Amino acid sequence: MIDAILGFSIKQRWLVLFVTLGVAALGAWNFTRLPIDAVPDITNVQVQINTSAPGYSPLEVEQRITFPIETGMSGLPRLQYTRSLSRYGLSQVTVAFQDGTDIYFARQLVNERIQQAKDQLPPGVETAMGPVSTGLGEIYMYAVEAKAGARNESGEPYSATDLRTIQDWIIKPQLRTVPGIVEVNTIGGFEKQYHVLPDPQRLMAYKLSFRDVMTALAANNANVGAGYIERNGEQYLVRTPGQLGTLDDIRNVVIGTRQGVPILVSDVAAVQEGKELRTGAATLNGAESVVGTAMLLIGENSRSAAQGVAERLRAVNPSLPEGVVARPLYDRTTLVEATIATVEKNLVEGALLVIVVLFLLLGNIKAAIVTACVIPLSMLIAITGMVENRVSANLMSLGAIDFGIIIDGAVIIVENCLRLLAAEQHKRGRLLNTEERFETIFRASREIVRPSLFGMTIIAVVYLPVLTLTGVEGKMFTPMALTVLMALAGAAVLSITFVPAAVALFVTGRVSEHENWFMRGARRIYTPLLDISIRNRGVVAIFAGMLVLLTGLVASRMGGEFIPSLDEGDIAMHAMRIPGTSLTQAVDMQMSLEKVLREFPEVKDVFSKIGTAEVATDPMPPNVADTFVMLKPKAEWPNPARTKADLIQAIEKRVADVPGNNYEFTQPIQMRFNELISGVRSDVGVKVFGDDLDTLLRVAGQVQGIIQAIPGAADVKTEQVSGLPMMTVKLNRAALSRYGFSAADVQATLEIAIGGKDAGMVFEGDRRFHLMVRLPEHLRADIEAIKALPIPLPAAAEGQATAMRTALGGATLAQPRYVPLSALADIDIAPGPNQISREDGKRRVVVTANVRDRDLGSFVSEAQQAVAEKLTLPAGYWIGWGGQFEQLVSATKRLAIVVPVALLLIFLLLFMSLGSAADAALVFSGVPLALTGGIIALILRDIPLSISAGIGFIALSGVAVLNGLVIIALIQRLRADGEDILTAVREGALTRLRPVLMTALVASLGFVPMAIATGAGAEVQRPLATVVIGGIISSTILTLLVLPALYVLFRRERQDTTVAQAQTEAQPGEI
Amino acid sequence: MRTAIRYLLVAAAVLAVSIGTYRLLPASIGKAPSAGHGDQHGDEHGHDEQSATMNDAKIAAAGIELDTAGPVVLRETLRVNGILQANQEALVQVTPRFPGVIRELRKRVGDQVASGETLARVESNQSLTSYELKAPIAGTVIERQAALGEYVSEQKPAFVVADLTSVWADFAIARRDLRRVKNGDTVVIDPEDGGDPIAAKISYVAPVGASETQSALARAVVANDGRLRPGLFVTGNVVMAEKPIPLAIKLAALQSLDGRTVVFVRSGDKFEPREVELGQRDSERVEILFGVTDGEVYAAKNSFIVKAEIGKASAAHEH
Repeated sequence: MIDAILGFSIKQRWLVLFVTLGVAALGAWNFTRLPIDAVPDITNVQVQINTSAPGYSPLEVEQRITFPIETGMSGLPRLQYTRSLSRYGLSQVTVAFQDGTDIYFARQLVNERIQQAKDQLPPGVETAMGPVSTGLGEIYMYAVEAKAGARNESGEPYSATDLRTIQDWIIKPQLRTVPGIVEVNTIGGFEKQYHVLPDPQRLMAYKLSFRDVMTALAANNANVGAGYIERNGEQYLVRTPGQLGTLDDIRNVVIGTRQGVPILVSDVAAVQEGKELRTGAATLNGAESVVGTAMLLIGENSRSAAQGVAERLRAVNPSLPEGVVARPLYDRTTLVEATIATVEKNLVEGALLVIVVLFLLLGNIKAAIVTACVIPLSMLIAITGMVENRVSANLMSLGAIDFGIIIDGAVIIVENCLRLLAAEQHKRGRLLNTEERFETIFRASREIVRPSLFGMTIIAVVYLPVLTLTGVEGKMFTPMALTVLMALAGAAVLSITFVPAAVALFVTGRVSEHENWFMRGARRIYTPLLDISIRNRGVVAIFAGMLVLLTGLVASRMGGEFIPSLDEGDIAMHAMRIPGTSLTQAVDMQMSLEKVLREFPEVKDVFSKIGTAEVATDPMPPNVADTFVMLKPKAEWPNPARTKADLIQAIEKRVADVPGNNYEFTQPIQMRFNELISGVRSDVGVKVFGDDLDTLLRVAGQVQGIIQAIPGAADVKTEQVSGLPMMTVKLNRAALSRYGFSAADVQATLEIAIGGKDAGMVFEGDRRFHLMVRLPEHLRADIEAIKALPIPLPAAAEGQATAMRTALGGATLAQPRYVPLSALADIDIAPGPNQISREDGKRRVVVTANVRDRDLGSFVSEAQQAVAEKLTLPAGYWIGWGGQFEQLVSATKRLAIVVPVALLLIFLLLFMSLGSAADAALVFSGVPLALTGGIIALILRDIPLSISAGIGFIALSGVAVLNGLVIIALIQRLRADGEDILTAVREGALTRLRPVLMTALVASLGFVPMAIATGAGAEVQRPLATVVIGGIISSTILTLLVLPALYVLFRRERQDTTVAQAQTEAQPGEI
Repeated sequence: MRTAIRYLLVAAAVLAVSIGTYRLLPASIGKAPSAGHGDQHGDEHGHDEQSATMNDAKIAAAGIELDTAGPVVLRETLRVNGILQANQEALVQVTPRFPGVIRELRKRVGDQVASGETLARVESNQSLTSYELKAPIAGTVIERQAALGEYVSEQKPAFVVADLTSVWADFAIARRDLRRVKNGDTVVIDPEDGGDPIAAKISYVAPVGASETQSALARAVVANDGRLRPGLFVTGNVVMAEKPIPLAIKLAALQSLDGRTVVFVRSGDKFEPREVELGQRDSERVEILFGVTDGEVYAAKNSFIVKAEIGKASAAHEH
C-alpha cells in the first residue's frame, strides 16, 4: 500500500503538491480561528451558584440557603462533587462535573434544580449562576478614575459612589456587548442608594411603625399603564406615572394623617443619598477606586476579546463625564502576545537552524528547503487538528513541539533519496533522466519509508501515557501531546506524499556525489572511534551500564517541581489580615501597603480587590486582598538586568515591614486558577464530616495532633473556620412575653435598624437604585447605641390621639411607649464561624498536611492507620481522605499500566520491524543511554526535574529508538546480504552516520533557541529543550558508538570463533 | 548462558526505562504543593507569638497613636428618651363653678394670660346670670374645651392654663440604668430644633415604676424660653457625677485576643498584649482595675494594627 502511495505521489507530483497547498491553506484559515492563550486552561467543568443574602450570618446562610441548594444538586448526571461555602451575606455552591461534560448542559441541569430549590429559600435572596468563564477568564481590568480637580454635576469632587455609578451605567453596558465577553464584574466604590432614615422617636410620637414607612414608600412608587382610549380615530395611550424620582419626591410621600395633617416621610425620617453596606472594595495606588474586570466566555479567543475590550474602552472614554477616565490596568493581550512571540521566535529560529543543518549535511539547498517545508506544513495540519479538537494554542501546546523530531522521518527519506541519487549518478556517470530519477527516488523512499514510519509511530507511542493523565496534569499536558501527535501524523503523511513528490519535482540537475567537508570531517573522526569501540566492546558495555546506573542514582536525588510556572510578567499578591478585620480597616491597611509598593521604581501600578466583587466569582472575606502589582517593561527599570525573582524578594522584604499583613506571592492567572480549582491543595487532606461545628473543630484538632506526630509531616494546619467576631442578640423570651412582643417584632426592628431593608427602586431614566429604610447612623454605630435601640411596644388597646390627654392625665402614663433593646435581649460578642464549608452535602473541616522527605504513599497509609487507631469519632461523624495524594495515587495506578503497555507496544513495533526480539532489545537499550544525557544536561544547567522535563525525556526516548532502528535495520539487511557481522556493523554504522547525525542535529539544534530563550514563557520550555538537547547528544554518541559495540557483543554467536580474527581485519577499514 | 545474560540486560534496560519514565511524572506531581500556593507562613511561629515588634517609624507609618495610662476624670453620660410636659405644678384646669352656656370667649389657646384675667363669661343655668371664668395663675392657655354657646359644666375643665416658663422633661430610665441616675444629675436636653442643647438638673426620680415599659421616671424641671413645647419627645444625655479615676486608658485601645480583653502595652520595641479588668467608663475612656500600671504606654488609636500584626501568622486565604 505504501509503495502504491509512493508511486502515485511521484507520478502525480503536481497534484500532490496542490493538495498539500490546499491543506496548508486550510491550516492557515484555521489559524485565524484558533483560540490563543498564554497557558492551558486547567479549570474543571464547574458551575458556581452564588446567592446573595444581605444581612445573613454564615450560620443562617448555610441553614436557609446553602443547604437547600446543595442538597438539591445531588444526583445530577455526571456530577463529580459539590462544594459549598457560607459566608456573611453570601452562599456559594460549586457543582463540579466530570471532565468533558458540556458546560451548557451542566448549567441547564443546575438551573433546573435551582428552580426546584427556590421555593425553600427565604424571600429577598437572589440566586444566580456564576459567569460562563474559566480560570483564564479575567482578561482585562480597568480602573475608573477622576482626574485631579474634576468636579461632578453638583460641583463636588467625584466620590467613589459617583465613579461606581459611572461604571455601572455608562461603561459596563458598553463593554458587555464586546464579542467573547460574558460578564463585566465590578468591585469598589459604593453602589448609590437612596436612604430613608426614620427616627424611632418621631415614629413613636406619630404612633407609626417601620412597616408603615415601608408600605407608604411601596404604595407611592409605581407607574401604571391604563390601556388606551380612542378619540376621533386616534388612539391615546394612558399612563399614570407615580414613581419616585428625586429625594424630594421621597420626602413628600405621605405616610398617614393625624387630625387632617398629612404626615410626610420627611416628618419622621431623614432622606438622603447613601452608600450600600458593601462587601468588597478596590484601591488603586493608595486610593479608593473602582475596578472593572472583563471576563471571557469559555472557549473564546482571549486575545481578540481583550483587544475588543481595549478598543471599546477607548471608544467609551469620550462618553464619560468631563474629567473621568477609564484606564486599562491589566490586559491579557500583552502576556499572550509576549508568549506567542517567544514561541514564534523559537520556532522560526529553530526552523532556520534546521535548514542550515540540512544544507550542511545534505549539501543540497533544494533538498534542505523541501525538508524544511515539512515544518510549516505539518504545523498547519496540526493547527487544523487543534481547531477540530478544540485545543487552544498556548505555551504548552505549541511550546513543546520540536520540529526537529517531527521531521525526522522526512529527513531520513530525503537523505536516502539524495544518497541513492548520488550513487546512481555516479554509477551511470551522467545526469539522470527524469525516468531514472523518479525510479531512484521511488526506490530510495521505499527502502527507508518503513523504518521512518516505524520511528514516527514509536515517537507517537511514547506520548500515549501523557494522554492518560487526568485532572490538572491532564488538562495541562494532554493538549500538548495531542498537538505533537497531530503534527507527527501530518509529518508522516507528508513524508510519504509531499516529500517524494517535492524531491521528484525540485531536486533536479546534478546531485553532489561527494560528501561535503562537514560530513567528511565527521566521518574522519567517527571511523577510528567506531573501531576502538567495537574492539573494546566489553568495556564499552560495562561503561554504558555504569553510566546509566550513575545517572539514575543522581536523578533520584534531583529536586522536583510540578511544572515550572510561566512568568506572567506581573506580580499578584494576597495580602491577608486576621479574620474579622473590617472592610474599612482593610481598605486603610491596603492603601498604606500600596503606597509602600509604589516606592519601587519598577512598579507601574498597584491595585487591589478587597473582599467580594459584585459577582462573587471569588468569595473572599474583607480580610483578604488580591493585590496586583503591575510592573513596567524591563527596559524602563532603573536596572534592566534585575531579575523578577530579585525584585519579588525585595518587595517581600519591604512589605514584611508593613504591620498587620501576611502575604502570599503568586501571579494573576495562577491566582485565579488556585481560586477556582481550590479543593484541597496540600499533599494530604483529612476531612472531618459531621453536624456540630464545635465538635468538628475538636475532632479536627485531634486529627491535627495525630498527623503532626507522624514523621515527615509538615505544615499541618486546620482550616480556619472561626474567628469572625459576632455580635449575637439573644432574645430573652420571658421578657418578650411580658411585654407582649413576638420574636419577629424585635428581629424586624433590628434588621431595619442595622442592615436596612429594601423598600423598592428609584429610577433615574435607565438607571435604577435601591431605596433602603435604615436607622440613622448614630443609632446603629456602636454597641452601646444598639443596646439602647428603642423597640416600640405593641399597640395596646388605647384610643387614638391621646398623647396630650395622657400627658395631662397622669405623669407616669406620659412616657414614650418603648423599651430599649437591652431590656429584651442579651448582647453577646464572641468569635463565631467565619465561614462554613460543606462538601457533598455535609459540613466539613479539613486538616491539611504536606509531606517532606518521605514518600507520600507510605505517609498516607501510616496516617490512615494512626487516625483509625487513635481517634474515636462521635456518632454521626466520619472522616474522608483527600488532597494531592489522591491524584498521585490515581496517576500512579494509571501510569503503572500505561507506561509498561506503551513500552511493550514500542518493543512490539521494533520486533515487527526487525523481526528479532534480540535486535529489538538492542535498539531499546538506546533509551536509558539517551536519558543519561538529558539528566546530565539538567544538572549542568541546574534545572530541577519537572513534568516539562519529563515530556522532554519522552520525546527523547522516541528519537533514541528511531536512531537505533535506522542503524540496526541496515546492519540486518547487510547481514542478510551475507556480510559477516563485523563488516555489517561497520558498514551499517558508517552508512547511517549521515542520517543519524542529521536527525540528531536537527532535533537538538531546533531546540537551541528554546533552551536559551529568556522571553515570556521561556521558563516552561527551557527544561524540555535542555533535556532534549542533552539527551540527543548523548543518544547520538551512544547510538553511533555503543550500539554497534553492543550489537557485536550480543549478536556474534555464529561468529564466535572468528571474533579475534575479525577484529584484526577490521583495522584497515574501507570507505 | 549468553542468551540468558542478553535477556537479563534487555530486562534491565526495559526496567531502567520504565523506572525512569514512571518515576518522573508521579514524583513531580507529588511535589506540586511545595511549589504551588505558598506555605511560607507557618514557620513564623518561631518567635514569640504573642507580641509584636514594631519600631517607632513603623508605628508612625501604621498610624498607631500611643498614649500613657494615667488618672482621668470620667464624664459618664447616659442617653435617655423623654417627653416634654407642662409643669403640672404650674398648671391649672379652669372649670366652671356652675353649669351653663358660654356667652363670651376672651382667650384662645396660646394666649398669654395674667393672673385674674378673664378667660370667658358663662351664663349659669341656675341663676341665668353671667359669671366670669378667670385665670388663677399667669401663664398660657394651652387647652380650651369650650366654644361660644356651648354648654359647660363643673364636670369638665373648660380651659387649661399653664405657666410654660418652666416645663417638665420626663425621661424613662430603663431598669438597668436606674442605679446610675440620681437627683441632681445634670441632663442635657436636645429639643432637636437645630438650636443649642439645654442643660437642666434631675429633680425627681420616681419611686414607682411603670409596669408597661418596666422603667421609672426621672424628671427635670427646665426653664423654658419658648423652645420647649409640651407634648414633644426629646432625647437627653444624663451626665453622671464626674468621677476622678486613678488609672484609665482610651477605649480605642481595647481589643479582644483569643476571647480575652487586652490592651497592647509598649515595652521597648514591642507591644505586649495585657489582659485587663475594666471598671467604669465614659464615651472615651475606661477605668483599669488590673493589667496596666500608671505611666505605661499603650497603643490607642489603630490598636487593631497591633492585633493584626500579632495574629498575621494565622491569616490565610482558604477557598
